[in-house]
Amino acid sequence: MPASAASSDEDLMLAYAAGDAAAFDMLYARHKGGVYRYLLRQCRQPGIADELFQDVWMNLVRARESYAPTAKFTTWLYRLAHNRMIDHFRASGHLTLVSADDEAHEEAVIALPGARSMQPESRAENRELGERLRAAVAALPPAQREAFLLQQEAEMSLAEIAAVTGAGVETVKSRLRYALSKLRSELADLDEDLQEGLR
Amino acid sequence: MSETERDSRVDTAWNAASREEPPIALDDAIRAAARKAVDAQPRRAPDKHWWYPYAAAATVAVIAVGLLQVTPPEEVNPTIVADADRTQKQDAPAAVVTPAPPPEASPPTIAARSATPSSAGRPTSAPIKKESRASEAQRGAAPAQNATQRELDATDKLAQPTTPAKPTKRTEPVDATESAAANKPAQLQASPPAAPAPRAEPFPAAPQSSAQSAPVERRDASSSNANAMKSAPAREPAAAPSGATPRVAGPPRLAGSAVGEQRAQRQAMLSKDEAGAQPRAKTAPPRSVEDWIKLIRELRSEGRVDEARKEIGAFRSAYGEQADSLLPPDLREFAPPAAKQ
Repeated sequence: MPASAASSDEDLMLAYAAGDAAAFDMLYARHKGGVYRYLLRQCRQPGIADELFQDVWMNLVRARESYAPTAKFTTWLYRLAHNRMIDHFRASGHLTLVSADDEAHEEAVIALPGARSMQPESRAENRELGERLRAAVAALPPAQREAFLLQQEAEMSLAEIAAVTGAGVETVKSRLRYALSKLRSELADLDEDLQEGLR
Repeated sequence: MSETERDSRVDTAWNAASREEPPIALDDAIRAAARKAVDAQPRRAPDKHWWYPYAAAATVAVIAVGLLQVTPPEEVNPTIVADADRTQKQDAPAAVVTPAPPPEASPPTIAARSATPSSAGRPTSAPIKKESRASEAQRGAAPAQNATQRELDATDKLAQPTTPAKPTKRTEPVDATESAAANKPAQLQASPPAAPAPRAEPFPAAPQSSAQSAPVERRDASSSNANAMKSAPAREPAAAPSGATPRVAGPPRLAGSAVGEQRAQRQAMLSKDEAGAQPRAKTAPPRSVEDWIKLIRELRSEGRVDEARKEIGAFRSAYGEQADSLLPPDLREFAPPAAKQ
């Protein structure tokens, strides 16, 4: 079947597996940003993100013939990215992503350097909302951050996030709840800062 | 909080804040690698049913060849048969019309030989008739008239005792094959086994062969009734090439009520032949001297002196001044020229 813009991700992947290079281009255009940002927010270093990003897509290219559309393509793609990132964390000795317990890491999350409340001097500066939000996300515990990124970048449901991360749906739901709570508070702090700045 | 754990404000803020894209160089590298992987990979096994079109084409070819093989040869042969018939008719006026006559087929019957020129060979027989009439004056009309009279006599004698089970009223057979098939029983009954050679010759087109056979047949016809039975069907090969009596039906076929009708027809033809006796005699090839002498002697030995002398007269008229030198002394004395006159 020839690839077209209306084709689903699964059809495009099957077409690419059948030898249609144009199908890969379409798939890449659809998901390159989300995967890249997912990796970038996780590792926080653009150079490493580029390397992981390339590895993820190369793994996809190598695994094209074994692809079976049993689930959504995004689930399969982000599982590749998730696995590659875990491999990276394992190799770098910073494996805190998988075992992170939301409640147990509450204190740790608060202690992360990204928390804007811990840096009052920076609030006085006129920063953009995006930067503070990115910092807030970066300050999230790894599991919460991953769940949040999968929800935002890949627009996954709880079940899909659970499938990618290998956690339960309720666990994913809890992680998202904590993540959003922190981000909301960060946005509230930003509003206060903006109001104070306007005064 | 909703079940999906989403916050619209957070979503909006995040969408505005998170816009990073991979470097263009990385995009190109990944795309190139992906395309290269696809191009370099061995082509996937072709479709399992790749041979279907070939099988269909082969089936169609086999069916076509089979149909050609199964097609009856009659659909192709008519042209060949027509050509063969045309060739045979050009070569011999008594050609058999059937495309492939069996080797053991009976020799052409009187009807067949007479019908062939009338049905298909008329254009070829007509010139012969004219030519025979032109040369009749040179050879004399006596032998031809005698032959015609003997034919009629033989026909009458043959028709009287013959009572076939299936009389036929057709006097002019249109199809030589049909007439040959119809005449076969009677012919088998009447064919003399003593002189099969000239009768078995299917195409007596050569004037020489007919010239040799004609005197013999006339002699047989005039010898006796029994001989007439034998010579009647055999006489026609000599007459057929001449084209003089192409429509004469074979005597063996005459029987029952058809005899009278046949005889009337033959009488009419005889009158026509007598009117044109010279053309008929012209085509009758001259018998050989030996046969003629033999015939004369046989007539004389049988006591038919008048007929013997007539034959001598005909011999003299045929050979002219050389007749006396060709005749043996006893026959020369038997019918001297003065007596002939």
